[in-house]
Amino acid sequence: MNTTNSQILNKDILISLIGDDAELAKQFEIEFLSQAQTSLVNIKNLYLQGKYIDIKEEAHFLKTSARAVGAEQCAHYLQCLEDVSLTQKKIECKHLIKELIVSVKQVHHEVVNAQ
Amino acid sequence: MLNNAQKCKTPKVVLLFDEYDDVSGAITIIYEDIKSFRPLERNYRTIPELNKHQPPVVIVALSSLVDSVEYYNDLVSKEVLNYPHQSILFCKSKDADIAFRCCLKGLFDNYFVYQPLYEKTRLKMIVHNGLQTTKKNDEYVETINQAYIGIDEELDTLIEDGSQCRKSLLASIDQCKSSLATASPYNGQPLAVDEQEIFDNFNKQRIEPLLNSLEENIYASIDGLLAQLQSQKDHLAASLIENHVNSQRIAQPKPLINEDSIKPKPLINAESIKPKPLINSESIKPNIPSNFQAINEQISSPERDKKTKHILVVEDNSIYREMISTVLTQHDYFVDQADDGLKALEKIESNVYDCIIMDLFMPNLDGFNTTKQVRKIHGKQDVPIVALTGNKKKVLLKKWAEAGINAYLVKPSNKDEILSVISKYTSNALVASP
Repeated sequence: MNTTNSQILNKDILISLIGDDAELAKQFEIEFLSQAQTSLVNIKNLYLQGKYIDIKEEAHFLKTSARAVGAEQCAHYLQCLEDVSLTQKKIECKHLIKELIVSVKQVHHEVVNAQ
Repeated sequence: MLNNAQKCKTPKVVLLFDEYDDVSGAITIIYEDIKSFRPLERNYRTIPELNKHQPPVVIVALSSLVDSVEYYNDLVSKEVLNYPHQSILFCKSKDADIAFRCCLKGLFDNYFVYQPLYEKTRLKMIVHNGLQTTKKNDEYVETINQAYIGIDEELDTLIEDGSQCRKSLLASIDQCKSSLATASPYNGQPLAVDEQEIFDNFNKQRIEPLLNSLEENIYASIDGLLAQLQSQKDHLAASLIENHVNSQRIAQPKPLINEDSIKPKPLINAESIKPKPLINSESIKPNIPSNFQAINEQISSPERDKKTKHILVVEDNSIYREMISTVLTQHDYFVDQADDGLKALEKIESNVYDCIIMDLFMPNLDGFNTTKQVRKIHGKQDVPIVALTGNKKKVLLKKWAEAGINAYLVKPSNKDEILSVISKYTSNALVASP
């Protein structure tokens, strides 16, 4: 998957998982945003400390819920971050973290506007 | 006697005094058994001497009880005695009650009536016990720290070796790929067109896939191993910090005192030296809205009947764990949850589950190793385990199957897929097998 054919928030994925309960879906999306915020802070701190294996673990952790709620672009960047973090390429990691932050903000925008 | 005792260069026991005549008897008694003993007259050199030697046992025997308490107070406040030590307060017979209360409040570890000095043997015992207590604490802390440091160094070496191995293997694979691009079966001589085509096809269809598969295998297995080692190292660091905190509690400086009320003022609170918490799924667990719980309570039955299947969902990501639980409870499964392999093992040992859904990459103990442990538990060898994974590589799937996993679900999967797999493995007619 790359970003050109992945959506910011693919609602069909969440529907296919938990059914068409809109209220429940909204709650999971909000929880994902809260979790993403915490994870991004952790990733940033780990990046500053140079702890690349921990970045990989954190990205892997968030990727699970990103995929589950349909945040496909986020999931894509998280997968890339997992792969790049092991190479310890600082510049690429930094770039991906920035892209990830933008992507999470876009998810937030989608969730808020859908209300 | 005073001269001999003052010659001790590394005293383990120090007696602080004002008037030598008051303490000469005690000095003689202590020096009979303990040569690493030095009496110190209170003067401008006392504090430098204490700082230099940090004796494990400090006896305070100044002219009056109040002086002793105040001076000890002063030493504590100036952090001269800010190290593990045993403190003994000398007092006169008339002050025994106050000295006793000082010890009850934890201001001193022990007291001794030295005027009049009747109990010579008891004095020796008090000093001896003080030495033994500090020695045991030091040995315990040192032993544990050495063990941790040794393990920590080994983990560092393993992580470093693992990283080097990974780099080396990946470099070899890259080299193979480069060589393939320019290789010729006839030692550099050009091939005929059809031979070249066959050679290229063979490379693309056979060799390159093998190399790619090997590369992926390296990523999956070595990266997983390195992650586990790092996780162990982090836990070891937390244990080392906790051990250090405990040793500080043993050596907690005596609280400051007010001579009127003898009310303690603690200098250092061991609670303030808390270890830095590790980042784990529990510490970043989001607040699940209350209606998630309500939904589960409304839908799920609190009592397990014979028809209700009991499922354990093991997943460190709380959102995804809650999603799967919601799906299952909506379809009349009774769901239990765990956020890592260790907690899952505790639940599995004490409960009966019809099926376990388990993420493979988790902190503390991953799904692969948890499965291996489950298969060793008596009576749990046949419980179906369904892996949750984002990895579909055949090599890995085969490895997991050999560990005892019965099936797998690719994350995130949809409701039908989840229910289909769970239904299959919780059917009474089916006997699960790896």
